[in-house]
Amino acid sequence: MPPTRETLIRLHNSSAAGVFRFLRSMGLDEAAAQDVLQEVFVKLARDVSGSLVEAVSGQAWLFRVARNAALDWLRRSRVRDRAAQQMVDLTDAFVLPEDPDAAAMQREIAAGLADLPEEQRSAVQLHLWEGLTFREIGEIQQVSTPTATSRYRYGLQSLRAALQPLYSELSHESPR
Amino acid sequence: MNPPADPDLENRLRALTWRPVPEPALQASLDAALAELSSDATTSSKARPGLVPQAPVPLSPSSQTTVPIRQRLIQFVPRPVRWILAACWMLSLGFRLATPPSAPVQGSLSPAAIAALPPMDGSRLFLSMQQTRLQIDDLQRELQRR
Repeated sequence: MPPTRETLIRLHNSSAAGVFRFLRSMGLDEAAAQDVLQEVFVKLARDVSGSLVEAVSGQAWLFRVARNAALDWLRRSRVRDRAAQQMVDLTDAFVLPEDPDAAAMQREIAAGLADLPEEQRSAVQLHLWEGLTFREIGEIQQVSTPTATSRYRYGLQSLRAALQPLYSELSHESPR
Repeated sequence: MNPPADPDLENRLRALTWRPVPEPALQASLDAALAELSSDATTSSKARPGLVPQAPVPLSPSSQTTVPIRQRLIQFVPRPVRWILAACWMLSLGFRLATPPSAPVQGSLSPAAIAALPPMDGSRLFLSMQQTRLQIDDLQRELQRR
């Protein structure tokens, strides 16, 4: 049985925004993220047997399909334009705070996140902002749960190392 | 060994707020999925390539008997020769279709040739005989002169 209209709308309402954010965190710009998001939900609608909808454990399946589609998209765009440097830019992905210090911190964090390897960045994004468990992240990345946990921890460690100068600066400034 | 957790950094990261997802992007994806769903409903007999491979469709009894025989015949011909044989067969078929029908046999004794001759009577035959004799005389004279 293909998914019903109601099931599709329910899944879309609960997951589409998260999938879009996830795609942006993978380095896709807004237009590409929109295309891939559309592709993911069309795939879900084409699920004639209905087995995929049943297999969606929470949101894991959707994120997995989205990740694969995003990796395909990135690969295709690399082939199309070999000269282009595919830099992930997350500076405009977050709402900028009014406080200049907080804004500077946020920019550094966004830059640090963007510099992480894709699998670590995905693990951080999915765990912190989408609230997925490491087991679900493992399913999405097709690795074991301990590996998904490691990726998350190593991602945070790299981010901490990248932000260390800023932390030092803040800790020197705070006594004043 | 996993690096230790970093609650401070986790809290800082959680404090970041993502920009709201553009509504047109969400709406477009939902519309596309619903359109796909309704097209599936209207053309439900059409098998679409899904993510999960379709189960093999059991063959009907008639196709089960005919297909193996055809396959067996094809397999009887050695694989490297199959394409060459097929090309030769196509060529011969082409020649057969392009060749015009053969011309009728034209012999002096065929019934059609005899029917086409003018009617012959005694006087015509005598005249023809005289003409032939004159021609023979001319030829003899010519030979003697040389």
